[in-house]
Amino acid sequence: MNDAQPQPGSRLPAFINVRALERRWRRLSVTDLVVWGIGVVLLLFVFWRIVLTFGQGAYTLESFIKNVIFGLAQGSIYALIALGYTLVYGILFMINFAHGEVFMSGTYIGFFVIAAMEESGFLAEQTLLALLIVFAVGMLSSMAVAVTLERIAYRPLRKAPRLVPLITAIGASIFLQQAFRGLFGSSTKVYPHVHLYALPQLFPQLEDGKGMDLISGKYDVQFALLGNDVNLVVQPFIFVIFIVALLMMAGLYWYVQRTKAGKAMRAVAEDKDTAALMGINVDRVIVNTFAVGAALAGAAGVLFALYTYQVTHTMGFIPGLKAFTAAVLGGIGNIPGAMFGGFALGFTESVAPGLLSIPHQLKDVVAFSMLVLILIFRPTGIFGEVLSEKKA
Amino acid sequence: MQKISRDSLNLGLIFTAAVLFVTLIGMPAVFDETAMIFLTAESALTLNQVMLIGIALGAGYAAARKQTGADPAALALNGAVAGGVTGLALAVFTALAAQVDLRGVFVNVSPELLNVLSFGEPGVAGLLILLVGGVALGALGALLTRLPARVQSVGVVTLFITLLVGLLQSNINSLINPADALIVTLWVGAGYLAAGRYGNSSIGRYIGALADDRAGGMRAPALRGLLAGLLAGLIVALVLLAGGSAGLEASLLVKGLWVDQSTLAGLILILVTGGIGGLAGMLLSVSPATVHNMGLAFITLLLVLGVVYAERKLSIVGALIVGALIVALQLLGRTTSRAADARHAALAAPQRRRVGILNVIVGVLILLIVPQISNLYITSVLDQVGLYILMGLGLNIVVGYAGLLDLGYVAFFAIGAYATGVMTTPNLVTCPPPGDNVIVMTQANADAGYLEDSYRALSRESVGVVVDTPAVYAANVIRRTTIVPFDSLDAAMAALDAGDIAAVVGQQPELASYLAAGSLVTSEPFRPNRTTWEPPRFTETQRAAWCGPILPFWAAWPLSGLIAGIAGVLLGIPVLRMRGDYLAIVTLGFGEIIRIVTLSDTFADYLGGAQGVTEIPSPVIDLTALSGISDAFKQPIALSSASQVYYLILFSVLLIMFVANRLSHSRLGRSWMAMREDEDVAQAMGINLVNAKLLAFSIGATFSGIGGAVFGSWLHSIFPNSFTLLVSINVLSLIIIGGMGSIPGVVIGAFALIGLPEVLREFSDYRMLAFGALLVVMMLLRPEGLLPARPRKLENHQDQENGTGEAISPPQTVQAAPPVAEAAVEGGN
Amino acid sequence: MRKALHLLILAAMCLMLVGTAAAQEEEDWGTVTVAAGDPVRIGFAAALSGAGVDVLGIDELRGAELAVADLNAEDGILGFTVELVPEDSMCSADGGATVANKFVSDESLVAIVGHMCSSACNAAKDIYAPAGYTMVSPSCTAVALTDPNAPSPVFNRTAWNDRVQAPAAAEFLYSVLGITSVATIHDGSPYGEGLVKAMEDAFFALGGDVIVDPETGEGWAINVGDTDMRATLQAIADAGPPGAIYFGGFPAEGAFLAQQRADAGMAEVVFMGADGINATAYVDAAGEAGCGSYASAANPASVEGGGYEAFVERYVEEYGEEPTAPFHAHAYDALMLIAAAVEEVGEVDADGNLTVDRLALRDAIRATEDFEGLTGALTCDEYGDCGSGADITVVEMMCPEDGEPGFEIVWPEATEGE
Repeated sequence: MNDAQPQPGSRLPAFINVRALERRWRRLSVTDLVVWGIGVVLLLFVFWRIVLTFGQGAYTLESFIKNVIFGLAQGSIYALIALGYTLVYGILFMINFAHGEVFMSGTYIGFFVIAAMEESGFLAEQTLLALLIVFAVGMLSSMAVAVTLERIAYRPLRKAPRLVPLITAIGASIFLQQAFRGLFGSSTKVYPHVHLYALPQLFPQLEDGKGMDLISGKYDVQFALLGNDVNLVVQPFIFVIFIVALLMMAGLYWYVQRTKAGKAMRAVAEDKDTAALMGINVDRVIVNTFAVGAALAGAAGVLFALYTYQVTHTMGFIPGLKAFTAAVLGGIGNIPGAMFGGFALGFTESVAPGLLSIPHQLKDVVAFSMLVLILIFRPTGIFGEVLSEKKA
Repeated sequence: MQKISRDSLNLGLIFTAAVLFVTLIGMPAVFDETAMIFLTAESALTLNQVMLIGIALGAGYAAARKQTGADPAALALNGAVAGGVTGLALAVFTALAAQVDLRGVFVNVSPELLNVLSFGEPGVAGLLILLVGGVALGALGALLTRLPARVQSVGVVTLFITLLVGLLQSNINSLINPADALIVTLWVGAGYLAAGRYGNSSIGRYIGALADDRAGGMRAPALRGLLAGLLAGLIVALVLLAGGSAGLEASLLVKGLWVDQSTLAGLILILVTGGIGGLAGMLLSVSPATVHNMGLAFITLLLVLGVVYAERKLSIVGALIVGALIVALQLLGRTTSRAADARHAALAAPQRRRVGILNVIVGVLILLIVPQISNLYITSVLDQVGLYILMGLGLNIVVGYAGLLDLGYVAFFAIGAYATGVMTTPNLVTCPPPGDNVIVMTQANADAGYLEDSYRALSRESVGVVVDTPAVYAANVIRRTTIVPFDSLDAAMAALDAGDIAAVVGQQPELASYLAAGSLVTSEPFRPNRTTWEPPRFTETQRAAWCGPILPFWAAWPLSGLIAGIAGVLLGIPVLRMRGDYLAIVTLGFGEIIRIVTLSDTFADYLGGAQGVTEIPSPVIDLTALSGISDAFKQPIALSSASQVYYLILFSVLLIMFVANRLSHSRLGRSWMAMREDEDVAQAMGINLVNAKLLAFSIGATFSGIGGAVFGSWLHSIFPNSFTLLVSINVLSLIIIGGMGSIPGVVIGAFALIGLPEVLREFSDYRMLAFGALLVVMMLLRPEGLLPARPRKLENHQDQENGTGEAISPPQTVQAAPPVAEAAVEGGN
Repeated sequence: MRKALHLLILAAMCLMLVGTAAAQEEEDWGTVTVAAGDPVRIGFAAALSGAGVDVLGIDELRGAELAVADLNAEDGILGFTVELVPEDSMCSADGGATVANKFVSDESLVAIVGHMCSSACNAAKDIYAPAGYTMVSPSCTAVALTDPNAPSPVFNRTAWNDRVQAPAAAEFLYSVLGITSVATIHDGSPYGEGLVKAMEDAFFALGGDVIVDPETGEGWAINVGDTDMRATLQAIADAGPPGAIYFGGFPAEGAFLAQQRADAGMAEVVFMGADGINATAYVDAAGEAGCGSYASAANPASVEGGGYEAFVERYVEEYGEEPTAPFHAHAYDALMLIAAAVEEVGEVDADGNLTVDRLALRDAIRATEDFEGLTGALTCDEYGDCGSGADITVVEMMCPEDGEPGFEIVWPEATEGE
């Protein structure tokens, strides 16, 4: 069926490609209709709940804004962890259940360093330098754990069926959790409350002249918006995490897209065997991927601990799960996708229960339903391009 | 001077890291209390000593394996270096830890740990032992590599099994006493030898002629086996008649058969059992190699259990006997299994089928008597293994056959459990919790202000408030209270008898008349600020009147399977267009959604919320109608204990295995496998993907729902924390470890995944640590699983096809299937 | 088709066999005999693995181990050394059942300290009952376990019954602090949910108002393992704000709630937990935000010789870290309770063998009167509730400038004045 000449005068705007739409319509099958039907029903349910909530009038703009900010905080944390996850996932297409434990190990070792520094008073004097040291230690220990993990549990199985490394990842995850419990005890370790003062000129009135406490400071903010005044308690650290997440994503994106090592990674992601033919040392690239992924996880771990203070040997499991969800939501192997997936997850968990007046105990139910809704309309994730079957 | 290669130094460092890790975790101190083999009355070889020796030997052995030359001196030297480095590191650590207090960071570095490490010798002497021990054991380990490969493999297996028996001795020391074990071995052995080996001896030919078995069929060996069994039974009977040795009296089997019956009946029973034993021996002699070896292993297991039973623990003598038995099993096994295989091949086709069926029957017979001879603990572990087999068979269809990666499989298990729980438990949906009550009050009291205060005294779950005056107290002060206006006391009483209101609690004198009728419970006149409020005690009759189970277990069980199947379809529809890991995350989400829904307060009225569903009645087999036959059926039998539910689980496992086996060979099964290989090609071949996927999900879910129903009724209570993501991961691991897409693989995988943590209980604190490590090791050794499905095994090894069909040893890296055919989530190749 | 036939026959056969395996319930629970020189073996069951719960299990195990050490220091029970047999029951019904079956298969066990989670207790009590094994749980607080309508012959607990702990908290909030409205949060565990429901009733009975989620008519709930509860707290602030927040749950989530309530503008709202958050883990994790928060605790005054402080010092010296959870003292008391009962009931015959009648042991435990334990004076009722007698006090987290923050008793001010 060759394309007829486009009749002059009836040309639609360039971006509506009529032929593509036709082709898509003809290819629609019953399942597509049924599945989209379910999607539409879910959407209607969401709108109905939103209308219901506003109908009751209990939902104020102020609590909406607060939930948005809480969502931003939670979303940045998920995005940070997802970035490290999606790198390994995008290259090796392996559901790395042990990533949560790599994230935890950086945080745990970081604790010993920051606790020692706090006792010696070094943390109070040189806060910025101390924090950099803790970040370095966290990232290095995560990288060490990840590289050893890859060497022992994943490399021998590279040729094995895809599900086999999944089991070694589970075994490694259990082993690492119990190892850290055996080594360092099962009590909860607590990060000290760090105070990093900045820009005293801009904020003379805060913290009696020392400037804004970027990490554990909480400040009241009042402003009027759309007619009703809003007073919030804002923690600047939320925006610090957001910016760090953005920087990390940009850095990672630059590293993968622009540098030679990044190109090698993308080649290995495309096809390991062909990459090997092109002279790429596949093993080194994979170790490199693990190292970079783990470094991001370590940094995310230290930031997570500075924000939530508590560190235990089992803290990695749930964040690892959420990172996996965010990575898939954003599209497998897509770095901006992982970031976006993390934010989408964070916002849904914070904003949706209030907005849809669903009890907060069910926030994970809402988050996963939102995941199903998005994957119904975009079966390969938000930014995921339709990959060849081999990679999906 | 022989050259010390760099490899042995590297190995020394690796083993040093291992030993330091093990020490920092505090294993030596904990393991020093677990006795493995009792050398003398007081002293015993402890798990800690076995571990340290094992590490040193391993270092030497690994170093020697790296060496190319076969010169023993060089090997010993390199082994000694590797072991020495490890020993030295440990010695240095012990010395260092004594001075510096590491407990700030490493919590488990306690004084006892250091004491255990230096074998109780203070100061330098202890360190010397470590160093010298490391060097000596390293050299010894290296020299072991000089032994021929066959001796090494037999030696390693024997050592491993003997130590395992030592580790588990406290669990298995009271199962079968030595006399029973010997008698059974005698019977089976007699049958085996008569039917197999001595077939062509003079007597054998004579019996062959007697049975005029010219065509070399089954009749001759069967007859010979039977006669041999009877002969052995006779011997045992004669020994008993002559007032045999004390050992025979101790045997339960004989006591059960002989002592309780009259001598004649006892004699006949022993002869019959002897005959059966002989037949079983005969069967073993003509069955294929794998079944033959399994039979041999079972007999050896009986003997080993007998040895451990004798002294209630594993002494050095016991250990030697067990070791000898294991060595005999391995040597004997190889030779006799080939002979049995040859005999099996020699049989004509119909006989071979009959042998197959008989083997299955004997296998199931053994399964039937297991709970009678084993203790409740082993039976409850077998129950759990059975439930995981049910789930494994279901997930095997979804992931193994259809190639759809499902990470939320526990959802269907939970749906099955909750469906049965809610339907069979009276106290949830059918009747309000006991705290419910209704306050009846006269206008006088209402005016006196009791009404408003008594609302506060009411517990939160009240069902209705009755006011016997027109004035209705409209304010819904107490949440979840519905006000039921009655205009008179009698109307309220009628409603109570009709069961609309749970109970009436009142304080008026005229209520006394109702009290006598027992239809009413009252508590003493209550003052508003009572803190001693006790929920009213309902008599059994009252509870039974209002609340009764919706369905008995036997009706609820298949229904729960059906409900789970429907849930499978509901999950299947939205994921039809998703593939690979997108499918995995949605199913994971579905699992989490179900767990949180069962936990949440919003559904607590129906699903019990955080308090779970308790008091689930156990399934009752009511055979009183047949009570004429034997008094065992007089009263209905409740399957409450682990050994009774075992049969229920065994029945469902056999049934589901049969269904799964037929499915895998059916048209649907083949369409699944086509779909697993490549969805697009399958669709091109005319397979309706939608139906195949939905059927895979719903059948898999039904199997899991059936398992869930039994799970709830066995434990009499279900709580949301039994249905976590870890269960889904466990089921996925067991089908991959067992071998994708193979039914025996699922059974072996379930035994490995559930049996292993129970075996590791001896490691107490480090149970999960060892389990995680073993999970990784198992996958590294057998990537395609312990018992891979036939097609998958062939696919993996088509480049190493060897003619004899001998079990193909797993190559280190499985050759990847050609990229084109690799499905989105290829289950196996 | 013939193979199918065979299998079905077999299935029917195995059902028939079931008849032979029925076990009857007889009043005689049998006796345990401990030969001279052998130890008195007491089983211990708690969740020693699993995210979030292993911390509680290990803490209870240590409490029991220290109790055994104390007993063996004064030559054990009736001269027999005491041996603890710990097992991991993994805080689930199936884990509890497996451990219960393991203990029941070992006749040498006298009694069981455990299980830890209400789900495990529920499954285990139905296995111990036919075998006559008495169990004393340090931390199973589910109301249904000692429900008079469905009594269990073997279940006892030193954990505090919700009906004792909740009214005390309600009394303190309503009468002492004069708070008129309270909002409740629980962590989805049987412990937290049962406590919160009892607290709502008690507070409501005193005349206070219970603020509920307009959507469900119930209190709020979070999940174990959550790190961000700000949205939930914001919903409470919208519905309230309440005079106080009462939390049924454990230190990890309790500390998050205490810190994050300021973000929802409820910094001044009183935060109160139960015995679940009375642990150093909460004090460290909550930091300054935890100052002024309350929890309920035992009244050490009722125990002479400063039992609890000395116990904590021995705990740190033995295990190198502070008690990680609140139930170590309850486990210590559970074991001591069993030991006292065995001492009372056991008879040593001529050649030095100890025999203990299981039914007598159960009755002795349930007849305990004013037993001096670390968690106060324990008196057991006929349904196995030994925690009902303890007098509950309220402790406040004090944050002195100079000293270390910690919990101190504020109510009832038995000894020193306000």
